[in-house]
Amino acid sequence: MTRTPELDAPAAEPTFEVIRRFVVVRGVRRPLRLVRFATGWVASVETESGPSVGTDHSPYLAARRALEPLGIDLVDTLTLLGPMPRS
Amino acid sequence: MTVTDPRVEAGGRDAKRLTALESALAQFDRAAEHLQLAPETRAILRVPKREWTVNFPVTMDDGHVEVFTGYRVQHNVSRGPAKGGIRFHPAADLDEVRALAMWMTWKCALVDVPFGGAKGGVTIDPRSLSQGELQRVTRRFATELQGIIGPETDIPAPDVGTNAQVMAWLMDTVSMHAGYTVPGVVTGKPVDLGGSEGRADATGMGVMFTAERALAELGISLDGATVAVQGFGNVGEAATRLIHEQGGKIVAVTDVGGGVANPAGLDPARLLAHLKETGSIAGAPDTRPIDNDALMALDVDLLVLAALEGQVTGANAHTIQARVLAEGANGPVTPDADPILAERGVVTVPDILCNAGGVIVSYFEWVQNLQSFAWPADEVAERLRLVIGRAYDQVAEMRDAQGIDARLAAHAIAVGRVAEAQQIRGRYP
Repeated sequence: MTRTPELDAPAAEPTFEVIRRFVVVRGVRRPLRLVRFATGWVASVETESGPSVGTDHSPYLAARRALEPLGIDLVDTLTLLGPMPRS
Repeated sequence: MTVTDPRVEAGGRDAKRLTALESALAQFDRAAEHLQLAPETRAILRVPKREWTVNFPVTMDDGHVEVFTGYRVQHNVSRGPAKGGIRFHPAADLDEVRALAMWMTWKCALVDVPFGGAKGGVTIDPRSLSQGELQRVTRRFATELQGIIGPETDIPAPDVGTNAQVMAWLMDTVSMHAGYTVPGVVTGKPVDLGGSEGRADATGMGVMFTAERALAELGISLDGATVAVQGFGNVGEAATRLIHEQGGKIVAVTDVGGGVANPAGLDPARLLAHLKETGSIAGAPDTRPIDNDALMALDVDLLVLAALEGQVTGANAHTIQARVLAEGANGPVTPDADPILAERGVVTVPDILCNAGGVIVSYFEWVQNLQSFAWPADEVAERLRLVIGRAYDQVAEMRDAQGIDARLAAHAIAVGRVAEAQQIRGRYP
């Protein structure tokens, strides 16, 4: 297999960035972690039954999926996240 | 993307205007970009799911046969059956119907009723037809749409140039073909045929509710506010009357035949009486004439645009002096006008929120038909206030949290909901 110098070279820029938000549900403040990759987002939040995860090209839809077990809908997610950097 | 519109190609008065489809696509692209939607999701939502063009002959009163062209476009049905009006208008064309169908998808999603978006149109001037001709056009168009429309698939409603009587003919035609009465195939029917109390005024009532909220954000009460209204049809007349009932001072109104103004205030009931008598509000007693451009430039608290698309553009947005601009029509403000209005401090109530009262009560009518249970008028109005008020709150909250304008907030919520439904349903096969 031929290995190209581009693939082996260390990335000049970070390949991901972590953004944190907080969500308060029934009085409990929970951290919502969003990880930005070049092709999309992974969102995760701790719930009573363990961490939930959402992935999508859109940070809002990724977060919405992660927050669904907590009963948080899309509009609340959009408001909670505020402006987001581009992936 | 190349968009052809004969009105643009002809180089006439509209030559510099964005077409309705160009406006709709620009608004969608902006929302999709803000949400960072995946390219494949954008590709799906940017185009209609289904569209039909039908050409059909109708025998006119003098015995000659005329061929008319009609359209039905279903933009998206991810959230439920397609829903959207049918307009009879000489300028109706496929691109316009595509744009209107897309706006219906976002409108239904924004107010969270379980419908997708559709629209229909026939290129015709209904005012030039006798009642018999209008009925034959309607019944033949309904027949052409047989198999496309239905209570669980696609539910038309009145729009520009159509009304409850046209919906009654549509419902009857579908019912004749089915062999039994199908009330749920259309909304906006006469109450005696299963229409909802309050449906006729619903869009105007929604305009009044949302305009009242926008004025309140600026510390202005609707009671005593000065108001100018472009359009005195199904939406404009109801909005004018209801705003007047709440204490708004109507200082100018225009319709297709002209316009009237009186700084001391106009009485909508007298305008309606004059319209019924002469076919236009123009020349109503105790008024002076005013044209559309002058009306839109009036220094008023509230400007209601309840006519057609593309009225405020990059070319005339700098003339708007109103504090609040309520979009009772679909697409009355083009995207190139939005930043100019924002710079001038004009608060815009975007169309997919402002004029959603019609589809909200259409949803109520559809539910009542399915339940065979009629709600009283006050219950319809109260539920409308709750649903459109909730949507207004959500748009305002999103606008403030994200530091964006109300149109982008409304579209982002709506497009996000449809994208979510699309993704949850998955891809077939």
